[in-house]
Parts: sequence; C-alpha cells; structure tokens
Amino acid sequence: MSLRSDDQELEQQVTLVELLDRLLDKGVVLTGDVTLSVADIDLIYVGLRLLVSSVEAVQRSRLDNSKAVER
Amino acid sequence: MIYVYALAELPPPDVSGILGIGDRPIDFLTSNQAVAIYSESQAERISPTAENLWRHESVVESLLKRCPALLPLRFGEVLSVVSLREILSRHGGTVAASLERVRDSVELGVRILSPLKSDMKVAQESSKTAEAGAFSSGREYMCARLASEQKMRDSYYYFECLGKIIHSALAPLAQDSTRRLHDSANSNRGVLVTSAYLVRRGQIDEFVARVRELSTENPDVKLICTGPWPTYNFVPVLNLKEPTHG
Repeated sequence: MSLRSDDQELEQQVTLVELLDRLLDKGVVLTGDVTLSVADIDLIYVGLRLLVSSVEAVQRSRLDNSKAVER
Repeated sequence: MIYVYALAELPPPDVSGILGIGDRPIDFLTSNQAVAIYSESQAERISPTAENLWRHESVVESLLKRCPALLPLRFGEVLSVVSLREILSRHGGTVAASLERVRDSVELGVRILSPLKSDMKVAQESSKTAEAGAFSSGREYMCARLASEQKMRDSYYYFECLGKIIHSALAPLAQDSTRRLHDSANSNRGVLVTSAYLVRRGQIDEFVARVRELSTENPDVKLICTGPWPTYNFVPVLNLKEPTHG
C-alpha cells in the first residue's frame, strides 16, 4: 500500500524524531551525566532541527526500509 | 575507556560482523549476571553526530536480532572498564530483573497528532482575534479573544479524551507502556501524545493491526506507529551514587 508523499514525509520525520528521542533521552544510563533533554520532546525537536536535517539528508536511502509502520 | 551499547543476558551473544562507532570492533564484558557489549573509545565524550547516532542504533538493532533480552544504553555512555564492572556488580540483580522483563519483547512507539486542518482553523481564529482593527470596541475584541481561547481549550480536552480512549485500546496488547501528554498550544507540529509500548515479538502484528483500526475509527487525529525499537523506554534506573556509610 503506497502512502501519499506528504504522509510519507511526515512519517519519516516522526521516525527520526522518535529515534533521536530514544538515543538521547532514553536507555540505560551508566555515567550519571546530565541528560541532553530538558523538558519534553518539543524542546528536543526544536533544539535538534539542524541535526535532524543532516540525519535526514544522510540517511534518506536507509528510510526506504523505514521503521514507520504503514497506516 | 569503552563505549557501551547495551546489556544482555549470559551467555554472551555472537558479535561477529558488527562494527561500532569509528568502525571499532565490538567486544563484551561479563559479570555473574549480565553481559555488557562495548567498543573501545579514545575519547571520553562521543559527539552526537549523525554518523555516530546511526552507528549506535545500528549496533543495538543488530544485537536485538541476536539477543532474546536486551537493554539498550543511552547514546554517549563512555566509562572505564573498572567502573563498568563495579556498576554491574552493584546492580546485577536490577539488571537481571530488567532483562527478564523485556525478554522476547520490543518497543513500539505511537504518536497521536492533531490534524493540520484543525490546527489551521484554530490558528486562523486566533489570528482574527489579534486584529484589533476588526472590532469596534475593546470589549468586543476581548470577548472574541476569550471565545477563541475557550475553543482551543475545548479542542485540547477533546483530543486528550481521544488519546485516553486510544491508549485504553492498546494497553491490553502490551506488557507495559509509557505515555506523555503534550500541551498542544505550545507543542511543535501538533503532537498530542507520545507513547511507547512493550510488546511481545509474537504480538507485533496484532498490535499494529489494532493501531490501524484505531486510526480508521478516529479520523480527527493522526496516528503514527513506529518500530520495532529496542526497549529504550523500559530500562532500569540505576542509582549510581555511592552508598554512604554512617
């Protein structure tokens, strides 16, 4: 089942945000350092806009096997 | 120094063919109750570049395929071998219990977004009230503004209720879940709810099918389901402070 292009782009963006949220704010912490997140995902998203752009540019082909589940 | 990717159960998994950050080979360190998978690190801090982030995730996902139970680490955990051994020794029981909890399970993410159409409608109404010149008096302006804000609050309450309904439908299909509500007035892109569900591998299809059904049943919101992820949201919180001796 193919998705409309805007739906696909939205799902790709959400997938990237989901990935960054998990890598930078979740997972086992061993070192006890201050986490990179401050409040909630919105802050992370806004703070990482540039990084998201670079990640998206580099990994667009990887997202062909996207982790986003079709609606 | 070593960069740690994940904790797993004994016996150690096959890590052949997996390369870590900086293309360094993957190795493991065992305690009496768990295995820590790592690669050597020259630096004490690893920058969250796109390449490093993707490599971390790539390693963890490769391990997820090889390990029935896996606890992923947050990005950037660099420490000494001595420190790691001490942590595993001190928290071995907690780690073992957490591995048991996530065995044969993965994480599925569900986000509920408000539809763009509603966002634009609210924004348009809000902008109208801001045009003071459109009103004949200050009282009229304030009444219109209050009405607009009330609509926004009512809309938020409606979406909050929808979020609860959707969660109540999905939670029975998962072993555990986390859920965070967002203030739609301040959130970027209308994200209403961010959730994570711990789901048995054998129930992934059933869970995803239910998300599709809920998406059809609730056209006022947009549901996006991602995964399967390693279980980042279902890991133990380790008290890393040294115990004090009175």
